[in-house]
Amino acid sequence: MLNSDCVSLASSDVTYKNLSDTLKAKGEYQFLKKSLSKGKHGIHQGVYIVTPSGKLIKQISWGWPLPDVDKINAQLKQSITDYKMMSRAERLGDVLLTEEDRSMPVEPILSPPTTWLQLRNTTRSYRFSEMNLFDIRHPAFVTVDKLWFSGQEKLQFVPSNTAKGTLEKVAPKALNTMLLNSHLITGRSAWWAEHIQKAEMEMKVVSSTSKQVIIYYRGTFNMHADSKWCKESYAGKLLGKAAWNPSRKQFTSFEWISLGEHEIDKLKPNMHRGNTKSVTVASKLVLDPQHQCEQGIAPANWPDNYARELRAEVK
Amino acid sequence: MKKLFHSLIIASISTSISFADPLTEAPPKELTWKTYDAVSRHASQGSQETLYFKVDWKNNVLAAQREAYQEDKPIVMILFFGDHRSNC
Repeated sequence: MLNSDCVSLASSDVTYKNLSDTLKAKGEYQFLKKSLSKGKHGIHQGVYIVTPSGKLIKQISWGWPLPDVDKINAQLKQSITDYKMMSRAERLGDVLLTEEDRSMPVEPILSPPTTWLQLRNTTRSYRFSEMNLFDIRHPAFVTVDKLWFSGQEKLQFVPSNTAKGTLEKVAPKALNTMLLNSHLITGRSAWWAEHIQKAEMEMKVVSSTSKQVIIYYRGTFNMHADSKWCKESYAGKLLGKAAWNPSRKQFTSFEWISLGEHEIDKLKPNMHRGNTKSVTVASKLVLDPQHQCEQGIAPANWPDNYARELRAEVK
Repeated sequence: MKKLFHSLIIASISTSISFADPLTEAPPKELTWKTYDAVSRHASQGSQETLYFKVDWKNNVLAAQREAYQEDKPIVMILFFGDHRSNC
């Protein structure tokens, strides 16, 4: 339905509202303002069905915090029917926006060098007592993110000697980007380097040819924070396996799996429900399959939590 | 907002939600090579959770209005605060 009967838009109301007055005066913002002028809160987060002429058909009521799928489905179908019943003038109006009407600057599509290790990350908690769909830790939700390592950084995950049986340690610092950017837990936490109490990983070459080196990983992590912004801890283990092409200096497969306990000492009313502070979390990091709808999307903490020299390499 | 995004996609393509194992599955006592695949599956997106891959999302109003006008279709407008990768 979203593809065949509608044009689907996902964007930030806050970004539109924060545009300058000059940009707000342009056609794009004016169209949005007009479309939602009869909504409950004007330009505000939510789901709306509007005509290309800028008329609000329906503000979708979808259930909070428990989504009512049948209700959403019915509202979508009814809105499409209502649209088709309108006259052409009511549906389309007489304004086709052009580049001159653009209010929202075009987002740059980030493209890291092909030599980088680009990983896609998914994370999900396990069931816990009092779990509630309001809570971001509910196992119905998966956190999706990206994790990037530069061409130099990724070499830290390849043993210097690739002979079968070689066992080497990964430099703890190489794991900071993964740990500090919350890739092993659901949600985002304000970890600092001093919160990492233990970050150990070893890698072992289990087979080796001139074309492919198979590497297994084993890691143990302990983190504890008691700052104003983060009162949390994490204790987990990681296992992984990867295939390295020594001549191309690229991973041809890569998977890291972690399992750990994430404890939040101070639950937040806008993110959590109940009194369960500690949940078990599973995390997965694999070579980014570059799904079409995720093209150009950078890691959530890019660029702020990445080194300056890495930022300079990304166009 | 992730709940909203996800439920809208499901509502548009499917008529029923099937929350399988992730909601009831208990974690293994520890991560070993024996439990590796099960933990990997738990951390993965299920088929229902990747339906949004199939939608041709526009990320700005201008692009959406132009296509909707030219194809004579209504616009489904999802406005969110923050970022789908983070907490909001």
